[in-house]
Amino acid sequence: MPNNPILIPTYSSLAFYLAPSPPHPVNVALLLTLSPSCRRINKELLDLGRDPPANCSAGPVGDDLFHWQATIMGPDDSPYAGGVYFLNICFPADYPFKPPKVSFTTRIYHCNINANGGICLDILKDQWSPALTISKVLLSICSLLTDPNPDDPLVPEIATLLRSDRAKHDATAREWTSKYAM
Amino acid sequence: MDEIESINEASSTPLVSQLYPISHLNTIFPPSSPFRPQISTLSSTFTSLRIIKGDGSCFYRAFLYAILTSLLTSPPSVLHRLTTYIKTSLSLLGDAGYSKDALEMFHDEFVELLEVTVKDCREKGGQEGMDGIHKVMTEEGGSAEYCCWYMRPLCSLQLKSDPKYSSFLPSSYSDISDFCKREVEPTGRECDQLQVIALAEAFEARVEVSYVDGHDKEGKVTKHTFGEGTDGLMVNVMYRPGHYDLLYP
Repeated sequence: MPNNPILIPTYSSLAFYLAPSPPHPVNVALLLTLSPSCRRINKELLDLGRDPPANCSAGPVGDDLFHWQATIMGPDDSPYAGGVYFLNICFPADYPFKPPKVSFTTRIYHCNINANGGICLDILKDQWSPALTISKVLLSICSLLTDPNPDDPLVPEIATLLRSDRAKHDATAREWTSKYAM
Repeated sequence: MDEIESINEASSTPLVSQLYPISHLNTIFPPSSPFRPQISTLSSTFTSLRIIKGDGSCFYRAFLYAILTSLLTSPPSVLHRLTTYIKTSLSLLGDAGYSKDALEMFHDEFVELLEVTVKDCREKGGQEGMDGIHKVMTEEGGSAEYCCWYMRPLCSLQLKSDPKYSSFLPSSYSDISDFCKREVEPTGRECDQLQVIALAEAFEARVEVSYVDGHDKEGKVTKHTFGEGTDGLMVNVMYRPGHYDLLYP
């Protein structure tokens, strides 16, 4: 990278995600003209690089800062163990006032996640707060994998089976894990 | 309640309206409205009002508006006190387990609002100063939107700072953190009395709420006062079910 005095110190880590080859120098003046949502998303990206949540990763797809891909490793104490799940993240233009749109692109057998990858999680809807971050959202999704919530199901049949026959539910979930997520 | 909803849902509604004479309430509540007797009582105590947009943040917005305009004429020590309060809040929120990265931009906007906008408007003074505050407070998606939301973590911080607040907690919440997470911090969640008390005490302001519920045929208006406001910070609001507006004596 050229030795440019106006480069911001943290840029090298940002460049890794935004412009793998070759990195374009970003100057401070340009960074200050970024919209508040851009600055916020950049900040989260840098924080994820510094302090990644356990078993999760996330970053922009290509050079669109508002469109990310994330991965979650199926938690060990769940029937999703061993699976690698891909998620799509879209930030709205008024992020962080509005929640990010997060959906699974890998099929998963889970009563709160439907066939389109839609996730039924309160913090992605009316419980969203700008105090939350993608990191916290991914951790909440990990918790949802470990502890499905059959009281607020997106796929009622899976919730019913979870309640009536946990062993059969877990066996199907494991089957889907090896079929779609390994 | 149709008349309230019709105001709140209008997309053209400004975040904070111009100053209306108190008689403007007669255009909102028709003569047959059960609210009318209380409205005429209010008219003898207050001269004017501002209608706040009903987007779930009305109390936070009304509160911030009143504080900022109050700061235009208050002694410099009050602005200094509030600036110090806001500046120290970010590390306190960090200590309380909030993501400083997530909150920093909200905090920074608030500091700038006090150190730049309010200072500038104080220098201009008079109507020009008031207009400056009004402009900032009515810009959709502008810096005041960030400050308005930042009042929510500030409210949470206050609620968590003193166990006395927990004793007012409805039993449907496991603890004060649960309450803050569900009722205070989400964007657009309405402000209840507990949040009003916490904000009044956090900002050391005096908040007077005139309750207009449409239930008193004699027109009696119940008034509750929260906080001390020892250095003169005053907030006067009218509460009608689900909504707050600003009142002026």
